[in-house]
Formats: sequence, C-alpha cells, structure tokens
Amino acid sequence: MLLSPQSRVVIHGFGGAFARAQTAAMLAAGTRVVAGVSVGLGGQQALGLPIFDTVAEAAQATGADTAAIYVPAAGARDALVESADAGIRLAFVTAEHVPLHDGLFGLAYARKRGMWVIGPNSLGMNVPGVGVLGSISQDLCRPGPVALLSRSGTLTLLAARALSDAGVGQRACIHIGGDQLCGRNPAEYLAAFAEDPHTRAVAYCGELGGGKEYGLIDGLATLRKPVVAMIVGCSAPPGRRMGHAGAMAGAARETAQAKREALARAGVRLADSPAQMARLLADVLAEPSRSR
Amino acid sequence: MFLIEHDGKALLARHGVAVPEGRLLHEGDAFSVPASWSRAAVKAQLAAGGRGKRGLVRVVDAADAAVAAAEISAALSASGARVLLRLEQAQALRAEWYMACRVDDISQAVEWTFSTAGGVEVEQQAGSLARVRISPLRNAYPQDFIAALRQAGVPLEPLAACARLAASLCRALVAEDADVIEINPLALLDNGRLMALDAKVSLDDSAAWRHPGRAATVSAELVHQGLSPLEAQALKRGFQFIDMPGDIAVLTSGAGQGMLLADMLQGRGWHPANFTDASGGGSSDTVRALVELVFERARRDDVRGILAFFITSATPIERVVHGLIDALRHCPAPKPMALGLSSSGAAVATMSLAQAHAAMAEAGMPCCGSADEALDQLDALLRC
Repeated sequence: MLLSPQSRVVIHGFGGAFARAQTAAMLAAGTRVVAGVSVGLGGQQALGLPIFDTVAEAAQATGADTAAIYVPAAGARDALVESADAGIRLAFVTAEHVPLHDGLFGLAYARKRGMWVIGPNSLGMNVPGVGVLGSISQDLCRPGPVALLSRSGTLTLLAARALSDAGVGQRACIHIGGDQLCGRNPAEYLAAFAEDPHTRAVAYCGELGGGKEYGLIDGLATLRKPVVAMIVGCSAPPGRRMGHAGAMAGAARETAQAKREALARAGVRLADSPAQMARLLADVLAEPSRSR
Repeated sequence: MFLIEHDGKALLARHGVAVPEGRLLHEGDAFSVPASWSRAAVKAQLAAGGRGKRGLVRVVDAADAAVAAAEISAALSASGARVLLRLEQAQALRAEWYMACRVDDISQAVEWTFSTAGGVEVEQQAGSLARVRISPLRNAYPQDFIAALRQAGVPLEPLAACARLAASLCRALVAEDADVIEINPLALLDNGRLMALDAKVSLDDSAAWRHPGRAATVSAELVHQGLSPLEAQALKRGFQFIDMPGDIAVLTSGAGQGMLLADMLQGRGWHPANFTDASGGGSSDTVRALVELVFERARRDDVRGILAFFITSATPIERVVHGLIDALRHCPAPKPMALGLSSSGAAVATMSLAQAHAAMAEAGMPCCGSADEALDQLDALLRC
C-alpha cells in the first residue's frame, strides 16, 4: 500500500494545469511518474511524459501500477473503476465533493479488484526518502519510524512539519481523506503498518464525525505498536458540519470529546497540538520495547 | 440538505412508500380539513428533529385541528421560524415501528436498521436494532431482509410488504443520493398496511447537480433558515462560515486547521468567534472574501483579536499573499491580528515562503511560520 521506489505512477486527469503543477513537484521529489492520461491528448507529451487516452493503455505501455487521480469530483467514480480495471494497485483521489454514492460504489469496486485507495478529498501520501504521491512535499518530512495518518489535509501538513522539526521522522505521511468515506479505514492502515518492520509507532490526526476513530480502536489489537492521536473539533458547535463532509457529529459518540475519551480508554496517548504530538512520539520512541 | 417532512414524504411516495394523505400549509393559507377525516395530524415543518418533544406535532379530532394549527403557528412565530405546517389525515394503527437506512462509513455499505419499537426515543436503543448491510455493488432485494425482520418479531402478515419496503428504502437512498432516510414511526395500520407517518431525509449536497429539481423545493428555501447573515453570505460565495460566541475571530482556509486553531485557542483560555472553510478554494478572490467576512465578525464588540493562519502545499502561497495584501489594503484589520503563513512543495514554485513573509512584512503585516507562534503572538498582543 505504500509508494515504493519501484512504483510506476500514472497521472489521471493530466490535461489540467493543477495536475501538471503537482506532477512537476512529484517528479522533482523523485517519484517515478511514467505517464499521463487525458482523453483526446493520447499520443502527445508533456513534462517529458507520454500521454494516453486511457489508463489501460498507459498501464500496458509503461507498466504503471499506481495512479494519481486528478479528475473532477463528478468523474471520480468512473476514474476509480477505470484504474481498478487497468490493474492499478494503489490510487489516490484528490477531488473534494465526490458524491457519496459515487464514492461508495467506486471504493467498493476498487476494493474488490484489490486496489488500495487513498482519498477521496486527499493530499495523498509522502514516503520520505522514496517519493510523493500527491501534494505532501518532501521538505515537510524526514525519514523515520512513525506512520502519520490524518483525516485532514492541513493537519497532515502541520503534523508532518511538527514531527520533522522535533526530529521525529516518518515512515509515511498519509492524508487518508476528508470525506465521509475514505478508501481504506484507519484499522486497515493499522493492519498494514503492523506488518511493516520499519514502523515503530503511529500518529493519528482525527476529527469529530463518523466512526473512523472507533474503527481505529478496533485495529489497535492487531497493531501492537504505540499510537498517539490528536482529535480536533472539541470546540465545534453541536449539529454543525465543520467543513469536511465527514466532520459533523450526528450522535453523542461522534463528538471529538467522546472520541478522545474512547481512545484514551483504549490506551492511545492524546495530544492537543501537533507540537505536543511530536513530543509524545519522541517519548514513545525513547521506550523501544513498550507497546501501547 | 435536510428535507422537511413534507418533501421527505414526497420523496418516499416516489419510491412506492405509502404516506398519509396531506398537504402543506403556508402562513395565511386557508385552513380546512376534508370532511372524510375524523382525526388530523398538524405538524410543524422544520429542517430539524425534536418537533414532538417541543409540542410542534399534534394529533387531534378534525374539529380541533384549526386550533392546533393556530397554536403551533404561534409557537413557530415566537421562535423566529417560518410558519409552515403539514396537515394530514391521522391513521388508526396497530403498532409503531422504526426503519432507516444510511451510508455507514466503516463498513462502506448501505446500512439498514429496523425495530418493532418505534417512537421518539428509538435513538436510546441503537444497540438493539436489527441491522443488514447491503453491498454498494448490487441493489437491495426483499430477501436480504427477511431473516432480520423475522428475528425482530415482524408477524407473518406484513412480512413480505415490510421486506419490499426495506428494499425500496435502500434503493431510494442510492437513487436519490441521500445519506440518511429514516421512517419513525413506520405504522402498521389497523388494515394491515404499512405507512410512513414521518420522514427524515438528508440529501448529499455533493450530488445536487444530478437533481436539478431540488432547488425548487420548500426545503431548499429553508437552507438559509437559522443561519446568521454572515453564514448566509458565506454560503452564497461558496464557502463555509460558522458564527460562534467567542472573543477571537479566526481566519483560515482549511477545515482541519480551523478546528485545530479553535481547540488550541480554547486551551489558552480564548474562545473562537467563528469557523471558516474554503475547501479547495485557493484563489486570491477567495482569500479576499474570507478576510472580509472574518473582519466583519471581528468588528463586533465581543471580539478582542484576530488569529490568521494559512498552510498550503498545493495552492500557490502567492495567491494567499496577494489575496491578503489586497484585502488588507482595502479593509484594515479592525482588531489586533496575529498572522502565520506556512507553505511547501508545489505551493512555493512561484514564490518562496521567505518571499511570502517578506511581502507581508512590506505590506505592514509581519507574520510567523507556525500555528504555535501565531498563538504566542496573539497572546502577546492581547495580554500585554
């Protein structure tokens, strides 16, 4: 599920200026981008990359196995299906405001085909020392043993910077998605990081709304590594959606406070700020044999 | 968008769900109860729950319906809500059940729930609800629900109809791009039929473009109801603003950092006066519009200072800087302001962070690089 030095990335929605700017930054960060896809531009080149009309054609010609999907929200479901059918194994979707049922179908389809999806509504993933899939830049991150997972893009950036500034390096920084549905739930990430020998601890940035933090608690037994979490939205007025589609407490258990209490009961250490999160992680890493 | 009951029932009826005969009454409409009705339900139409507990739903003899309507109208007027009622035929029923479906974020499926104990307190028994999950890759079918309905105690007579209703509800959820459809109570009538006596429906705004007719519903007219003038103004400009009863106006563009800063302010003894989210809106115009709204909030007497912080990795920092400088030129900060700017990656391709800070300093608004520093600066400005 992590971007690796062998990953071959295709940019879906390569016709747009935003996608081109992000691609240039990914290339500069050392990511192995091999192709772009934009219907009608097949056969052309941009940024030194060949452009294809379909993901299947791009995958066949270049061996692409990873997709960065920059299509608009209305096209996200179709793009997920197209990537999954083309044999892509890892995809990230940047679009915000993907219709809920489009996400539901597209993510289920991807899951059935074995494609791991980051997003929708995501800045993507940075694997320090390897590359960037999306917009979490290298200068925020440094290699190390902490897997950073976040439901918010800006919190991903703030947390990555705080960790790096405190000398706490990251195995990966992943913005799992800000919508009600994200490609893979926190517990699935924990299961993946449980198997990763390079990961010693997990940092999690969550927020009010939905049940993802309870899913995270369910995954702790599998992880058997310490977790430090920061849950924002404690000051949110009741019943209001706080920006992200997933950030509204529909029931008492969905408030930030209830989640903090549940996580604390499960043995997760809680931080009130990115800087405190970094300090707690530094403490945790100084105790190598201790589990959560 | 939350639908009022009247629009929710119209949606259910489109999918074959029986609902009571009824009509919507606006303020000033002539009131009359059809002669064939012996009893009537008079129900306030609000895009919010809890009407029953507030006495805004009354089931009365037909002869008393006009009085009930007048009393509910007066209560709505007194609370500042728009006077809107649904008058419908009351039903003779054997039992009140509960049926709902929603999108579950963890199982990533349509989740259907049911209980033979419906009513206003059903939320209390969430753990004992019958539950069936439907894969997004196929439609729901009646047979998916038979075992759960039998186990929940549904008698044989309405079992088939109840299973068909369950399938219809799940299909309606998808077809209508809804995130929740709840029927509480679902009535088992004396004649053995099932009927939705209430409807709570929440629609996915991200799919509104697929349903152009929705803009003309009464529910759409009520979207602005209950919003403050600044909240309504923000909605028209395409971003979110929430008025809060605090002392520090908060200027940010991302939801996560907005919530974090609000929480961090509280941790230092301050209280956020607002929340903003301009999701993905990284243009200079958006920044300018955000500044205008936040400064408008800051002009009120209850606000002591302004905390502004932007972090970007995709949106060029240049746009934020230009938006800020332009806004500050036309509209100086009405209260002491602390500003932080942080940026990296593609966002600094055309202007480095150092250049961004220098440009802000030149414009008379020096800034720092982290949220903690911005909070320290705010503390220093306001507590000295």
